[in-house]
Formats: sequence, C-alpha cells, structure tokens
Amino acid sequence: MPEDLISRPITELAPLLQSKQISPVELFDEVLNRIHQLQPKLNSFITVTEAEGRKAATEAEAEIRNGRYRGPLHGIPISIKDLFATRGVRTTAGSKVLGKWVPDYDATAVTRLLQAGMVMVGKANMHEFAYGVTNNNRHYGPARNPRDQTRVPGGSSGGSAAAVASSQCTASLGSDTGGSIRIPSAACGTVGLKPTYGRVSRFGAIPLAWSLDHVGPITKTVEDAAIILSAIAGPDPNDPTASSRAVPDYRKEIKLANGIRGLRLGIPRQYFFDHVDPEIRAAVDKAIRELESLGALTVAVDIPNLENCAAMEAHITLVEATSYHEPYLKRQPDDYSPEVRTNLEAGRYLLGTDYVKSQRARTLLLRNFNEAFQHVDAIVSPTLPAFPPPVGEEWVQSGDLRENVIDAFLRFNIPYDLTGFPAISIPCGFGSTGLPIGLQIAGKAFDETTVLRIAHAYEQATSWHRLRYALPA
Amino acid sequence: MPTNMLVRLLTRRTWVKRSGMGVAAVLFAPALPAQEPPPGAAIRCLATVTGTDLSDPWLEPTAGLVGIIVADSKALRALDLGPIEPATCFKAD
Repeated sequence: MPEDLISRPITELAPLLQSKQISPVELFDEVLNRIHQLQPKLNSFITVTEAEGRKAATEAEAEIRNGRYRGPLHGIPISIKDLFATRGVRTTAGSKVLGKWVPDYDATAVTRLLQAGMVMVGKANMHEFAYGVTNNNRHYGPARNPRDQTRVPGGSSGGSAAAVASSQCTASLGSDTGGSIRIPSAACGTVGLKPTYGRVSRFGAIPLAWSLDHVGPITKTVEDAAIILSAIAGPDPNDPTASSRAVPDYRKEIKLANGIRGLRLGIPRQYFFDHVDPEIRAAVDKAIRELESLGALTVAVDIPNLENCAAMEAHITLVEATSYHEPYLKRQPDDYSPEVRTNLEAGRYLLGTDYVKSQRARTLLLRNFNEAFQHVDAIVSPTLPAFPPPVGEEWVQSGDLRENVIDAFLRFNIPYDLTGFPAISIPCGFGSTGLPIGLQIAGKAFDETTVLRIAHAYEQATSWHRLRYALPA
Repeated sequence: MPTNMLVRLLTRRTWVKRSGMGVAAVLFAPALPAQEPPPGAAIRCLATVTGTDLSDPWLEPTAGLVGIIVADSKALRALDLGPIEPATCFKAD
C-alpha cells in the first residue's frame, strides 16, 4: 500500500477501491493507525468507532469483491461530528449532559452516508453543543490544530476539520450555525461547505438554533465536497425545512462547466474586508487576482445592513438554544461548562421583541443580498479576519482590531447563516507562521453548483490543497 | 362578592400598595452613581417573569453577557423595518 494513501482525497481513493487495487479494510487499518498516532496529540475524536468501522470496511470489501460497488463513498473512511445521532454509538454533542446517550437512530445525513457505503471511523470532537468557535472542550479536552498544536482548530466542528487535515479520515460531516464548518476549515486548511438552508436535512443533529443550523461536508478537495453533498442532500419527511428541490450531481456539474470565464464575482469591500490581518488580506487579494486570471470578472458590491448581523445572530442563537436546552438546564444544570451555561442562562433574559426584530431584519438582509446577486454570480471574501489563537486564548488580533475570538470568527460567516445562502471555505495560502488562510465563496440560494464551480476552478489552478500534512514529531 | 373576585381585588390592592412602596423607594433613595441600574439587579427582578431564580454565581456573568448583547443591539432596535415580516420556516403543508 502506498505510504501517502491516507492523505489522498475521495476522488483518488475511489477508483483504487473500485478496481480492488486497495481494500477498504487495509485503508481503514491505515487510518486507524494514524488516529492512534495522533489522538494523544490532536484529540480530534471523542469516540473512535473501531469495531463499527472494521465491520463496515469488511462488508464494503465483500460487496466490492462481489461486484456490488455503490459509488465513490464506498469504503471511504469518514468521521462524524459528535453532534449527529448515530445508532448504537454514543453521541455526546461534546457535552457531559449527553455523555451517556446512545441513540437508537441515525441522523438523516448519517443514514445517507451509510447507504453510500462510508466507513465511519469515529465521532469527532467539537465545541460543547456547538456553542463556540474554539473547540476548547472542558469535558473531552480541547481539539488541537494539526498545523500548530498549541493553537485551536476553530469550531465548532474543530475535531472534524483537524481530523481531515491530518488524514485521520478522508472527510467529515459537520454542522454550521454561525460558521462552524467554515471556521475550522479555514483554521486547519480544509474545504468546508455550508449548503443552502434546507438543502441537507437537519434531522438527528442536536440543534443549536433551529433556524440557523446547517449540515455539510468538510473535505480535502472541492470535488470531494461535491460528492458528499450529492449523497446527503434532498428532501426528508423528518425535517420540514428540508427542500424537495431536485439534487443535482454536483460533481458532474462542476466538471461539465467550462471554467469560470465570464462569471461575475462580487467583492464587498465594506464589512468583509474591515479589520483583517494583513497576511490574510494579501492572500485573499491574490486569490481574487487568480480568479480574474481564470476569466472571472470582479465587481464591487455594497450590501447594507451587515452591521446588524452580530446582534441578530446573538438574539436568534441565544433564544433558540435556551428554548431547546430548557429541560436539560432544569435537570442537569451543573453538567454544562460555565461558558455554555452562561449563554443558556442569558437566553432567558433577551426580549421576544428583539428576537422577532432579528428575524424580521433577516428578511431585509436576504433582500439586500438578493439585490446584490442580481448583479453578481457569487461573493468572495476572507473566511476569517484573524489566525486561530493559542488554546485558552480568547482574544485575537484582526488587523488593527484586537477582538474576542467569537466576534472575530463569526463576523464573515454569520451573514450566510442568517440568509441561508451556500458558502464554502477553501485554502488560499498560509501565513508566515504556517497557519492556513481560508477564502470564502458564497452564492445564490440553492446554487451550490456555481459556488463549487468557482472553488474547483481556483483549486485546480493552485496547489494549496496538494500540500501534504507532515506528521508532528 | 364571589370569592375569586375578592382574591383578585386583594391581589391587585397588594400589587398597587407594593408598587407604591417601590416608587417611593426609587424617588427617595440616594441617586445611583451610574445612569442605568446594574443588569444584575434587573435580572434578579425578572425571576417572576422567567420562572427561574438565577443563583448568585451565575448572576454576574449572565448579566454581563445580557448587557453586552443589549448594548450591541442599539442599531438593530433603531432599524425601521416597516411592514417586513419575520423570516420563518413554517410550512402549512
């Protein structure tokens, strides 16, 4: 088996599995070795599903041997954020509150990945109840950034992104309420796709805020994200917000598309480029020039009302989260970390009028973005304004602004959770300290194809995604 | 007079009496150094509204967070949204 096999994306592993050049069991064992090697250092997992994974890999091997190849996810080692219910496997949501919960059902996205033939390698570490951006988890220990173990991997899907970046799995399933797929992807150097609200069922994902929660993939490449999105998207009777729109074959669509020549990219110079680390700004500007060199046209766009996003997000998240957690808060208040409990307690004291006003302002924000999208096909910006801080540090330097890491990391991400528009973070460089930089591309509602197409074109023209992870000493 | 109405009247009188005492306390109390009451005091007063008596260790951090969110919400509160309705995921079908 080639030494770098587990570093490869789905698109390279799948043909080898299909043609029986490698076995799903061998691949699983290699990944498991990597997990055992790195878990003490990176703490990317809350539960490693060795028995379940080996069983799935053995079944995949038998099926492929007997000519029943299911498709590109058959035999692929995938981790699942511990937010998603997994039948027979403990699901903690990164909390002590659910520390002993073993669901008797799978989340819909998990069911679909299992049907596609994934081999689940473990339940990834996460910020407690997805209520934070650092993955400093008091109950299961902090997940760490593979590029610099002293730093956070971002969150809340921090274990997922860290595991993908360090090849402890080929891909992961994450969730995004204020940026929780894109933030750790930017921080760890992976691809993170938050699809349109309603594109992927939320059933079986422990909610943070119902009206903001999204489910999506974290992968090594854009094409891998397209493959997973096609597998998990679609209507679901268990989730009334899941859209019944037809699901395209995203992988085929981005390959059919003739590059990005003539596509119009909106550059929102206000808000999305305010208070940004100079190295991040330079890398994103360079990426925009690269997109222009591929034939895209850049257009300045001005989106009003963005300055209210933080307040809107705070009211909606705190109130919805407190509503969900109320029974647990009554029964097990001491099982929450002080930070999460404070957030949940605070949710009781916000006004209903402010919550409804935030939801009304969302409608206005949606109109403002739709107005911009009449003139452009996508909007490009940095994913984060600052690099991930050391574990335990709550402040970051965003260019000329020293700010709380929560404010900093949510800033460019929440507009797309509030509007529900699809957004992807892809690697576009590294800072002088070796930490990755994320480029965010957002598109119109249910136009994941264009988002993926632009991201794929950029990825093909650059080499950031090909940089292999070096094992720490 | 039916008993329930009597109870309501007594309750209302008690409320009015207590409110009067509250107003008097506010009027004749020495001026607070800050312009606005500390959020912790406001939160403690809300126990009857929320149905939850927030215990001491949680009062200060909770009040601090609420204070920050409210302070950051001034522009949102000032926003004139006209007839715009809330975003909603409700589906009648």
